[in-house]
Amino acid sequence: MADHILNSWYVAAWSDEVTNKPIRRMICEQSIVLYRISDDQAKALADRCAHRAFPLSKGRMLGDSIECGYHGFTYGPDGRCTKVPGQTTLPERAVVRSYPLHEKDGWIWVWMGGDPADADPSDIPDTHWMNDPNWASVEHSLQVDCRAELVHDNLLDLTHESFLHKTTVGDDYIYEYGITVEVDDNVVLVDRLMPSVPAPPLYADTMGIDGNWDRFHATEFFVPNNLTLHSGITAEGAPREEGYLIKVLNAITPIDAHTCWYYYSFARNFAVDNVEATEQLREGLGLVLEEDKDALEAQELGMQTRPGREFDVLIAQDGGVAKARRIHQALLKKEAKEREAKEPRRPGAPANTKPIGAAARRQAQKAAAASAGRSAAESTTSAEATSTAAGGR
Amino acid sequence: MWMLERANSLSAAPTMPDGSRVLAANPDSAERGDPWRWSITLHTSPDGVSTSVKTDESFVVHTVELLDETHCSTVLTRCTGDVIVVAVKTGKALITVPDGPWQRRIHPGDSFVLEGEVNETIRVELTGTQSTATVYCLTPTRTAALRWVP
Repeated sequence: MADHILNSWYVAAWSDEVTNKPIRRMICEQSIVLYRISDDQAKALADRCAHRAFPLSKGRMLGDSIECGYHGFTYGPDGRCTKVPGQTTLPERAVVRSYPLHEKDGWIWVWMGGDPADADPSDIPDTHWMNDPNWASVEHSLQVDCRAELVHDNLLDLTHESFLHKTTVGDDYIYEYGITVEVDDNVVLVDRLMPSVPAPPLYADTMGIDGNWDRFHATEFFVPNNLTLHSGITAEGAPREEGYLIKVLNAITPIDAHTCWYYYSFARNFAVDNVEATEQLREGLGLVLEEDKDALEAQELGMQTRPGREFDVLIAQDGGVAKARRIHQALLKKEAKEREAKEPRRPGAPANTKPIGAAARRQAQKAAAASAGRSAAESTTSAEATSTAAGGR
Repeated sequence: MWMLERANSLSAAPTMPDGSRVLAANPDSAERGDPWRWSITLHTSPDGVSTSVKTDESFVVHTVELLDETHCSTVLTRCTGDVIVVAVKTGKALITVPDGPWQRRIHPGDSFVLEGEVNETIRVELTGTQSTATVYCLTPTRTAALRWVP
């Protein structure tokens, strides 16, 4: 299993994908079943029956309970087993994990951390633009066969627009302008101002503008998984808030080490009631995302075949990328430490106790060899040979 | 181009047992494969707070400007290829650009790094009582520009 940051809210689905018919989602290598109960609340349980690990998503809803489609174990919305066919007593361990869930602005968020007490919905970034009558939005979601971190990098370094998205949101000038980077707690903000430039083709059409404008991009990355792109175009020298504004919400949910979900919402404060503009943007942005997907999947293959001694050659434009990677590593390390402190030691793991059995014999042999003037290496080899021979019988 | 990393950033270098913490360095991770060329460190001890710079002088030379009650503001023009690092030791400082809309306040433990291939001017002003700050200007000796990658 790959390293994933679990103490975080992840987007698991669009609100309208979750109904009273159970669906399955894989998030951070954990299989989850999502469904709604009678009061319309969405629920998330481990998608694995406690009896024989059959996916509950292949079962059916019975009122507010979900029935396993294999042997009929039935679970309430809290994950506790409420019925076992053919017997009245319920095994104590017949319970499946229930995940904290929060629904907001059209997205279903699931807390993947081990302790539900840590799941604070106020930690979810602002997404109100998806649900604000003064804004119109276009949505997409896609599965990308690349590690989630490559999508993060892609959104933090938007100079790729000049090359990958020439016909839509790209322009040659983007990489010519420097960035500013701000890092505060787990948030990285990369901002690029492009003064007095033409609007990119896709936006110019929708906005019905030409000539030169001040354009800006500001990617705000809430490490580990949500990136809000505050972007727009203003009259030259005018404050940003007075311009044509765009908020692109990007929720990147790891499926496993080499695959992720990309949930995307593009909200705009212009041409809000213009249905034609919405369709034009839906198509144009769909193309942008397909271009990204192709590039990211090709990059993933490059990463998988790259020799271990080679690393990315980051440049000044990658300041935000470098900082975000550090935060990601720091969070992983923190969680590993917390897990280590909570979990009992696994059998076979190094223990802070006196060695026993074969290990004790090897240590004694080493000590004896050392005192007899023999090299420790010879002694170890000899001990290992003995041990291997014994294990082979 | 500039980067402001707040003291509470999860990507900031950890504080060492002796109270020192690297505020900015280039390069600052071994995987980059380059030789270490400079680092700026904040030291905290019972005697107070200080900063220090370490450079490999075969690659980088530096100048230092101190800001205190007697010299509480400065206008800095970063020449092409130089890197400027501003570190507040006590109190706070305000960083602005003459022709730009933005301004940022920085505090002890924050690091502000200005770099790039075109000239840039900023103003640094102490804003709190008993504030002190150090401004380091790093200049490459072998290349045209000392591009900074965190």
